[in-house]
Amino acid sequence: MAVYSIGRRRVIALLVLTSILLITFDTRGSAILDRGRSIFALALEPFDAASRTISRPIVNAWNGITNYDDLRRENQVLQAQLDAQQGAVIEARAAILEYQELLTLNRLLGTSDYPTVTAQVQGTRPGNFQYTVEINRGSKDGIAVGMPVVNGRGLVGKINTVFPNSAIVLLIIDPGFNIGAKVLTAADGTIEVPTSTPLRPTEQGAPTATSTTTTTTTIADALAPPVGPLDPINPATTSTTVAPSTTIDPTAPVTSTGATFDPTLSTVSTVTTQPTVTTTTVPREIIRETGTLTGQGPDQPLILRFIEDSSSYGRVKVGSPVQTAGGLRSIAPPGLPIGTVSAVTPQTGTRTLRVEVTLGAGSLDKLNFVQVLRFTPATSGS
Amino acid sequence: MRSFLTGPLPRLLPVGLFVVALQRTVLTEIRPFGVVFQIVLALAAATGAGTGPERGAVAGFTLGLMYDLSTGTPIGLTALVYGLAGFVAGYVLSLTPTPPWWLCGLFTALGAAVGETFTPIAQALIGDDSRFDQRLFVIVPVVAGFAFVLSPLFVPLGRWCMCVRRPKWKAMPEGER
Repeated sequence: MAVYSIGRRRVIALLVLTSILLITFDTRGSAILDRGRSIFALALEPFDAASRTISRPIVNAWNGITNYDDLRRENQVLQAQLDAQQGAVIEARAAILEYQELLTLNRLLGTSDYPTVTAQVQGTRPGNFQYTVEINRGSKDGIAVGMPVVNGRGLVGKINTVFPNSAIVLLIIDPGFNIGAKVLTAADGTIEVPTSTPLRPTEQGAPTATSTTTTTTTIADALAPPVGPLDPINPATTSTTVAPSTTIDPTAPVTSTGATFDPTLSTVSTVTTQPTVTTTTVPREIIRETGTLTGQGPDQPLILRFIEDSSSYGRVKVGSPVQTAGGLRSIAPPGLPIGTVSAVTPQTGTRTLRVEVTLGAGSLDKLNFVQVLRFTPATSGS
Repeated sequence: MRSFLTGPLPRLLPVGLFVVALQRTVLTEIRPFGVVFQIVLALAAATGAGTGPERGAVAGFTLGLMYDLSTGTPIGLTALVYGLAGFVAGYVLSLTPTPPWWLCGLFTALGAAVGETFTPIAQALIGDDSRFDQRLFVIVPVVAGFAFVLSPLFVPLGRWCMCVRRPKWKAMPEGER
């Protein structure tokens, strides 16, 4: 029998052409194919439920054999972290309230202004080349393609495919995930900005109080790592210091140092200010750089591209927080925490920097509950 | 109607649904070396090894289509790749019409390896970002090994799904010799 008989060629050609046709229609968007997906998902539900029920003891046994030690170690570490975070939670709650109040006063939308849908992860990626999870909420719950997905620590992905009762989330670590992001860095140096002016100087010769109290207000840690999706700006801290006092006695005689005596200078004029001079110390400038964030797969940092080396104003620094940039074409509102800068590498031949970002959402293999922000972007993103 | 009911589809579809459900539930949790076993790909390749290149390509196409419909990958992408896997595995029948179990297993593993290798290639061809990295050197052997282990079960199952009987040797009558 010939290796390539006519029948075999026809089968091959038919299958290849059909595949290409389906791929073309699907990538351009086809209501028929989307409907077919939904119907297939409904048909698959009983098989999914049956296989989950049957497989649960097998999966539990496998996890018990392979992951027990790791799990116990991780539990100990997490308990220690939890204890350390208890205090920070209380402070963060107060800060979030203040932040919300500020947004309301300035009529700005925050991330908490969008309704959310809480969902549970019911399956991780079935393949080896796409990083997705499946959640148990779908179009019936108001979820649409492109909506951002967050957990308690930040952005984890976006909705890629929606079925009636479930949805597939494309994780932020997937190489196909792109989002506009901003990194905020405090420039070097600080300036003192007076927040209250001193009173009129007193007239010469009048005895005055001489102690001076200086109150310094510092906007400290404005760029600290966020504590949740609704990350607030940490409030200003106030410290009060007493400056050393200087006394000038206006009635003391003038001591001549050998110059010609000038009777008009027989008294010394002094100017003193009233106490309580308040100043505020702020960073010289907060640099806001915007770029495109891309995933690189698991165990690899995210990459923030198109960041220019603005060395005249200050460079992006390790430890700076990275958030979603927002914008008309973004898939997420601005201000969602993503992570922190872990490395900044200049590139030869270009002013752009290679900025590596460590994901703030933690290990995406262990996602359980997530929130879908019902933020409908102008585009479904990339 | 009768030919449809006696054809391969009424058998392949429910088996495919069950295998796709297993892929999405059990096998996402069991990940040795961080690699997800591809049971649907193993079935597609095993069907090819048991029934030949054409039927293997058709079975792989159908199973891949079901995988695409359930996982959100572009429809037709996995169908193309799994069809290729079934086609490659089916070439075992060009060596011998009744291959032994280990030869079927080897070609099943080969088909699975080809399929898993071509998955990122196909994704790159349709404009998805390149996913080639060193993990491929771990993923492909693990997936191929899994397909080899399952082949003694899946090759007969694949034949049953495609309504193909294993050829049996029969002695020629004396008058025809």
